Amino acid sequence: MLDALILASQQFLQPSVLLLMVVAVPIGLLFGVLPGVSGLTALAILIPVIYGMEPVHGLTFLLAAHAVVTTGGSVTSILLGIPGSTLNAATVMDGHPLSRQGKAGYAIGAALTASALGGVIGVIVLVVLLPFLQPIIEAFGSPEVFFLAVFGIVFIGALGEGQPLKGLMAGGLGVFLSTFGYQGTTGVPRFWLDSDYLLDGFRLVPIGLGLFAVPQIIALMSTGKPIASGGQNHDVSWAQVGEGIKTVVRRWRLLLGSSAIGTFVGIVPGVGGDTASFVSYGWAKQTSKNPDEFGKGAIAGVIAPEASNNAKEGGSLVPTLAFGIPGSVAMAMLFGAFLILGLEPGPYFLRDHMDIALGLAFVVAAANLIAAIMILPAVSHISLLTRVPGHVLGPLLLVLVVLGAYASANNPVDVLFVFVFGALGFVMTRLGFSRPALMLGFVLGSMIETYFEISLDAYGPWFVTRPISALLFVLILAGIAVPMARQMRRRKDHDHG
Amino acid sequence: MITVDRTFTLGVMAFVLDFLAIGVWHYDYGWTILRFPVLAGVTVCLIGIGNLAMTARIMHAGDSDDTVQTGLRPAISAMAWIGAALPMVLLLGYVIGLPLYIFIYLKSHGQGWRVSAVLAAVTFVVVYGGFVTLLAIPLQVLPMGL
Repeated sequence: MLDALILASQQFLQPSVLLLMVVAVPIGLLFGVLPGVSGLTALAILIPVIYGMEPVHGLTFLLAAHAVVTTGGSVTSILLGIPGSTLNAATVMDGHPLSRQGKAGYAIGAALTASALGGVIGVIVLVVLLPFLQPIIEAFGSPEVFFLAVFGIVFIGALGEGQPLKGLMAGGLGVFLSTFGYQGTTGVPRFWLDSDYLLDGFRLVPIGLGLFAVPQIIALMSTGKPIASGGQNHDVSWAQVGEGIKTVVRRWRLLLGSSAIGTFVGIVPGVGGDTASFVSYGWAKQTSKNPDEFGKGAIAGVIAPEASNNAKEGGSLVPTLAFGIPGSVAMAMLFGAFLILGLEPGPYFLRDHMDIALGLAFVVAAANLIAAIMILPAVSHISLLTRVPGHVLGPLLLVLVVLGAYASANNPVDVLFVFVFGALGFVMTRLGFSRPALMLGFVLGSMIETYFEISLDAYGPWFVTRPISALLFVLILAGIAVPMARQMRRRKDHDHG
Repeated sequence: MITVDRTFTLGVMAFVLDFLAIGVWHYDYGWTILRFPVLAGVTVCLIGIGNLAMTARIMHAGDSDDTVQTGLRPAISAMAWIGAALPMVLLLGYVIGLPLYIFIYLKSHGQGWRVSAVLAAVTFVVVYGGFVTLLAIPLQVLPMGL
């Protein structure tokens, strides 16, 4: 462990790595500030940039940009009442009322401090857990990894957007799309329609850009309106910011509790960050002496979701690195980046690359601190971006998407598929089909198939009866049944009411 | 919206079944090759049938189907503009096509000559200076055939 720490510090404390972090953080903050443009979009657009980079450099760049997206999003949530991403939605509930009361600086100071410290706490938990994960990992054979991957898709599909069947169908479609191209175990190309492009199957970058960036651009270009409108006061007082920072330190129990919740939710594959911030918000409200203040400008309602949002990044690195099962959709995208850079997260990653795992934990923590320091002086300027009309911002983002798609493999067909998957993403958005579930299904599909085939060969069809497999199988069934039952109950209440 | 929902669900099921049929009859894949896609495809279709049954219940309960047109026209117009970027890039190349696209789009959406020209120039700098020169990405620089 000590050797790994020394190796990690040698690799990740290089000036070039630190410089990349300083470059990546403002990019992540920018994506966070733009409402609806999520960390996932940031990753999709930035992944092509890392081609040809050293693994340490490429992962530092992506992770630093991604880890601070919610930090940037907290600013627009508070100032304008528009969540920078869905992860910041819980912050709006009390952050924006504080802004309307003329306490924007107080709320922003608290939000940025909670984000930074929450991110650091999440990483500390990650580093403490990493050495203990090895025996657990060794108990996981092919059948268990297969069920764990299915479990992740089922959870994100069934719990994601309140329509379990649509989420599950999207997840299944993602898995089906992953079967195009050469089969891993036999090398036979499937469904390639005699097209050289499809021999390698669909690519991650065009799918990610199409599903997530294009619908957002359509929304901007179709309304033509700036993301933010209205006449809120954007002035940020430094005295208020200082008071916000002090408040977080004074409310350390709330900070620790929310960070712990965020880390735990991040560890559970597929549950996603949206859940973390709302669970923390609910916990803060339940344990508060003045729960009635929530929704009207309670500072605890800002601290809890922001700390939890950033802490979950450390947590979601655990299943990504240790099991090869992304803890969130963004981690699924990051998983793709690992593969691009020649690293395969999974049971042997911690044994072979503990130094990189620890280094990435350091990157998350450092990026969060750098982000808080960087964004404070720029808050009033950054908020002006949300006033750029949609007719201007939309086409400029489209240019980045087209360039990003081409640059990922220097293949113009990738650009075409961005448009194809963009249309699919737009329809899915309108009809409430989960795009994250499709993405996760696609990313995990080939791994699921490989472990499925190995399990069948090694144990026969009864691999499901192995103890951990059986437990995971039951959890998968529960993951389907519980949201379904809840939806049917809601429907029944709706019919009667 | 329910009708569109059902059409999309049926479309996804048809897509999956089509490819499975192509695998069986056109490519003549064996069971080892098709086992997993069949498992994934059948799962998608079973869930799709469940979704169709669920939407049938909603239709039977009399929920309205009049939301489908809401905001659709501007979205289709935006999609057409987004789609227009593709032929421009393919015909004129990235370095000329993208700045020109930005200029035409901005100009036709009420922006002045100066704003449109400046942003087109910024796009040119990003595409040529950033991607072609700095990152050495082999983007198609000249229009097709030149």
